[in-house]
Amino acid sequence: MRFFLFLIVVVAGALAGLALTERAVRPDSLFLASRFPPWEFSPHIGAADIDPYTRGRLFALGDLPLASGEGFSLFARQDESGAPLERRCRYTLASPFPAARFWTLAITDPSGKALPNLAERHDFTSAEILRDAEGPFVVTIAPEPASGNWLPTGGREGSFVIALRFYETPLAATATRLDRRFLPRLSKQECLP
Amino acid sequence: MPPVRAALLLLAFVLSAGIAHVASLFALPRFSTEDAFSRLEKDAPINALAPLDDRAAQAIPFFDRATAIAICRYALDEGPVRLRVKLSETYLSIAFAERHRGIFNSVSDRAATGGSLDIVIATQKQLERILALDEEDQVIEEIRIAAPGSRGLAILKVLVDRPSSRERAETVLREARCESERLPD
Repeated sequence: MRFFLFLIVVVAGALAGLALTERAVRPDSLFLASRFPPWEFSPHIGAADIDPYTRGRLFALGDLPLASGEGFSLFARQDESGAPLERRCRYTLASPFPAARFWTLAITDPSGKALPNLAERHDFTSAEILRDAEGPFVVTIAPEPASGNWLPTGGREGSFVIALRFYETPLAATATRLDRRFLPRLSKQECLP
Repeated sequence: MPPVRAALLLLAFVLSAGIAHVASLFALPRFSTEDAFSRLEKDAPINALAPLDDRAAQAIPFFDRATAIAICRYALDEGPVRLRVKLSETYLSIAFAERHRGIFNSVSDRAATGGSLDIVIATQKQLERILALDEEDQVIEEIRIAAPGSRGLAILKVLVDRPSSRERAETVLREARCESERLPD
């Protein structure tokens, strides 16, 4: 009897440990290294000194990170209030962008697949973006066509994720912290019913 | 239940939870087959360069579609591997990774001399041998990378800054070389 109780406790403990791992490697991990709402930033994901939690999350998600020497990425799965990014809503993403030789901006579904859309546009690069005369710019992410830089969400159902990648930036090699004042601003506008 | 027994049971719970958590966290990269590195390694020829086609690229979650990629799956058993790539007009980089470990190093086109990147990837032991073979006043223009293990991936990436530059990016990758070299005895 005593032995069985012990066995049950050990099995329950092991299950709790596994559940904790599952919770830790999910996209919305409990142990996410740095958060600059709405941006997620993992400074060591592309370096030899990657920590076990970041590595576990990387291998569970299955994406190919930028090496630390290449640059860094920012992901947004939620808006600043913590609500998921909805495909039926219009969002604007405005400069400033961190200094980089190139950057790319893409939206995908939560599992990282491209969102099919009639315009066949899935991303922008820094070379393609339309800027104001002074240099600042705005990207509109919306289900309905918009003037200027428009990234279509391609539908009304479900949510999406923004991936921003900065190639060759002075920040990459040493960044463990980001300055929020130099990060793009994401604002939610109106939504379709 | 006596308090001592309750405390022992709690300890058993915490210990087994901790062990299961740490063991599974460390086992995950080792046993995963759906991660980017496993996908890139699968079907890639050894010590040769293989461009990543669209279908394989889009199978990788969050893949940056504004890049063109080629993979060199290296094996250093026979000797170091030399990678040569001419520079692109756009950003070009090479990341080095091991399947169960992730990225351990990278080189970008800023490190290039004379319009191309010339990289030697070698084990620690091979690197020592290469250093011993260097002539004293020789100018070393190649970049030497120490590999933690003898198997891994070199991931060549060229940025495609607009759709019209994809063809040029793919030409750069097609003309790149990745070959095993034998060190003199």
